[in-house]
Amino acid sequence: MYLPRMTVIVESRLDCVTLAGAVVRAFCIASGASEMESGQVEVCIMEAVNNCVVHAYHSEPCHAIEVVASLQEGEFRFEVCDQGKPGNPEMLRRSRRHLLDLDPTSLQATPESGRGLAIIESIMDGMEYVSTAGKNCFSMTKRITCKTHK
Amino acid sequence: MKIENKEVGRYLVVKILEPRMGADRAASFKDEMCKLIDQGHMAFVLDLSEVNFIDSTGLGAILSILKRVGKSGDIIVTGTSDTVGSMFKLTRMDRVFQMFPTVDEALAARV
Repeated sequence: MYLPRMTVIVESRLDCVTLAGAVVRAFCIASGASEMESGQVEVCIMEAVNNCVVHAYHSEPCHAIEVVASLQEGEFRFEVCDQGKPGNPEMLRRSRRHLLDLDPTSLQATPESGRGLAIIESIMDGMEYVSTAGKNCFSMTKRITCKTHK
Repeated sequence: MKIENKEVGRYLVVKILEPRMGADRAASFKDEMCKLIDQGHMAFVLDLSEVNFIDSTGLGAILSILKRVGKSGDIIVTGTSDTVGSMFKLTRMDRVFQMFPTVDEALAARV
């Protein structure tokens, strides 16, 4: 049985993150996801890879970030892996969706950053973070009704 | 970040000429906008019709400009694609920014 799967490796630079997102978006579209769903997946990939660049590698270039996308039985799975500083596995224990609750009356107190994981949580159906043997992998899953996989 | 701008009444219409507002463009966007604020502009119509991607960093950059101009300023967002518009909705920023389909509609409502 053919299982669509692709891997892309990008350097730990913010100007390289675009490539990972664009390739995964193309993978989703080619696998039958809609433009809107594929665009939202691209955002999640970019957020996850940005986190690797900034938090795992502290914006230091020349490190590898591996992005794997696959589709099985109507469910997309995306893995974003680095070998930098491990994140706190507790970060996914609590929902972060409250970070998306903006109060227009107190804008000056509203942080400008820190919404990446909350966005991923809102778009994806599942998230997992595993750090073992020097490799950190952030996994996301999303069930999409694909035109070619109904 | 490539932008072009023109003054219409009290508003400066700023058109983003790049397709993506991600982490690699957010800082230069803020720099360009801060230069315009330093020149005395406080009311903007931000034309995103050329932008087909925005992430939390890009949204945060736009929010930072709104905070910078404060209550005496104004930022109207126009021309969002379905995908970009969905990010404004997802992050509730559609409650913070006045949003119009086109620059002309925004100006007709405000100028």
